Amino acid sequence: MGIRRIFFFACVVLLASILSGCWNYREIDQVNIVAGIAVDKDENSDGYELTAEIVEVSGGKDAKISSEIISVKGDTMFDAARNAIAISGKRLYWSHAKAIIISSEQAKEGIGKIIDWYNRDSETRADVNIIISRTKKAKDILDKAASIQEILSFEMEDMISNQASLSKAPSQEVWQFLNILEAEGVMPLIPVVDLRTINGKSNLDIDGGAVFRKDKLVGFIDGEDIKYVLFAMDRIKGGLLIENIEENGEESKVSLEIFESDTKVRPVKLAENKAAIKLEVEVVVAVGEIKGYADVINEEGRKKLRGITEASLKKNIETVIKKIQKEYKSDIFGFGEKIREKFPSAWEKMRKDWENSFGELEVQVSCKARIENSAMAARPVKAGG
Amino acid sequence: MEKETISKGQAISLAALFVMGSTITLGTAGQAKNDLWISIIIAFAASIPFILIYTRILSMFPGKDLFEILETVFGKLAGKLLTIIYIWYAFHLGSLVIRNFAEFVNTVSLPETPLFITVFFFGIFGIWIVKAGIEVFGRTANLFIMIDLIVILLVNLAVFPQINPDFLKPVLGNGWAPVLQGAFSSFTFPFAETVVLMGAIFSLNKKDSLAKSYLWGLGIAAAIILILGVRNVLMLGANYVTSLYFPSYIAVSRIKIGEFLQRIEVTVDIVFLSTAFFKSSLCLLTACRGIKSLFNLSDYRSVVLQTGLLMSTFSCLVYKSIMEMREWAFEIYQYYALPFQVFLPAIILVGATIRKRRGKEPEEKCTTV
Repeated sequence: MGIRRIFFFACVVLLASILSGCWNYREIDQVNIVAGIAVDKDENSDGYELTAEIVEVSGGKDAKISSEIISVKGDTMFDAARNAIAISGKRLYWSHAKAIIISSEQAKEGIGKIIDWYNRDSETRADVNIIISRTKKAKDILDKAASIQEILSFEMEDMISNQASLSKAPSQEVWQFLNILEAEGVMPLIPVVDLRTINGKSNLDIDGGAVFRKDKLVGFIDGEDIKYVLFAMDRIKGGLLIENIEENGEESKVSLEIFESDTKVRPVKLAENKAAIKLEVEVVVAVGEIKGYADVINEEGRKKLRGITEASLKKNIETVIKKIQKEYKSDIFGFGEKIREKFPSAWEKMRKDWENSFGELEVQVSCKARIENSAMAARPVKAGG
Repeated sequence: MEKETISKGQAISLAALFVMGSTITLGTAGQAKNDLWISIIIAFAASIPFILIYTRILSMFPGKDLFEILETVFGKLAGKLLTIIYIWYAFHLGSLVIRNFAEFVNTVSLPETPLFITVFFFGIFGIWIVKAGIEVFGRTANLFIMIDLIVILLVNLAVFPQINPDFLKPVLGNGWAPVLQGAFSSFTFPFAETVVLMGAIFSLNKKDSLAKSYLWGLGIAAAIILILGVRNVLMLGANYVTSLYFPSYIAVSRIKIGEFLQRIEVTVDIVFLSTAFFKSSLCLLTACRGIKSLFNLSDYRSVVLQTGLLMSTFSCLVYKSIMEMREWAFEIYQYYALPFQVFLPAIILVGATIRKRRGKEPEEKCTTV
């Protein structure tokens, strides 16, 4: 009994001490936590210059979070990521990264080859935002911007996720980008970041979207137009519509807050190899501000405002679709995919020449608006006398 | 030796865990892309007649496992030959399952730990539970199926904000061919692999119907495989899913509810681990019972350690890389598995029926052995 018991305890102690450890244990002070990266073309080779924003935690009691920037070069993304050891002495830790900024110069040559490593590696997470920089070098975004929060990359992530109540930039994560890249009849649309000087400091500004054909950048859409692109894609979650209304010869501006929006994309078959798209937009708004004295609250005013809203929404959506059809010929709306879903056999005949036929695709837009409330005030302000 | 029996509920749990094992890790019917749900339903429907064949064979000889039936029906020589074939299938399948799970651990969380370490500890626990016998197996399965179902339920409730129904469209956009390929693939892996259970679950303690418990187990597993497969497509899109080795894991890692409920992918490890563990251990049990019957041993327990260690070692050698594993699992395995799952059981059923018709004498002779 004695020997068996000793043997048993020896086993327990041995297994407990061996198995509770890790094979390759890394403590947090041995890694550099990456918050985001910027990817540029390396001018001297066909490789990349990778700039990583690294989270620094300092101070014991009142811990302060700040960030530091390191730049490394490499032939491939993985090469560059590992070369960071040569500069900072530590391996990069990727699980908390929130943004990949890619320079527009590199994006024109294609971003699929940059994304591959990010999607493949087991330490990186494919649910980070891709952002295209409008500055010449993506590095400048991390290097030169003054941050309002501590970490620029986290700030950018907030800017994108809070677009729900602004709707001036799309969002696209790595895995979504890959899904779209492999799908038929839809092209990627990626948010754009730029530097804007405010009070002598450069600040980040996420506004607008970059239009892609396959994985190559073909052009930009500015923030105000993106709103109508998002309407056409049924991705509006909030934001404002500004309408002009005239009453008694006086011009007023009304800000309408979007509460709900629902867009139905209906493909219509015209011939064996021809289809059209019907967009039916239904939007629920509220009067959020009246800049002027127009009465848009009473029945007549509401009717008028509704008419104006519907007409201008229709016009703006049509204009932006026309613009993209003409200038970029890139089906970022996914109309091709909708046609494929509804008329698979017709799509078989259209798919080869979709790029050109998208340019001539007929899109009919119809809009319906409902004004739900006027916030806290039941009537417009009236000047006395 | 006393007869070891389990209850109907335990048999259902075991069968369900067995069928889920490694399929929910690797995913199934990838060929069909966004139509995989049709493939899974077809595969499940197609596997029902075969499950009935397996259980019919077992219920013709109550209390006997697959290998004893083989000897009774086909005599010493042919019986032993078929026994060797099924030992090989169970042994090989067990190794593949261990390797699938080890490869998952190795790719996702412990890339620098040698594969052998994972495999070895997996094997040790398998040996332990097989030595403990089918009764312990059954009780453990009852516990684990509850844990797994609860985890799957909770995780999938958290998925709803992130699903996109458009990912399932268009239905049959690529025609029937890929759907049928996918159905074939998920018929052989995992549904008809149930044939291995014939060597492990063959006697229930009450006069419960084996067919019912097999079918219930298979039904539960099929429902879960279907739900998880559809969820993966709804969350990630069919194109992306087919590019992944472990789609369920990636899908769960996308879950994000507010700032607090995210990165919960570790929870699916519990499900992956327990199902793969039961599947590989049941394969080990079957292989050991086969060896016992092949060499006329009195108890299978004397060969568990050796077979288990061989199985672990073999699983390290069976593929050179995860790429090979994927090619084998989704492109070659379906043809390799057909004889074990379809042709041989059909022959056994015919043989058994003839043997039964001829009279009771030969059968009674053998039962006295």
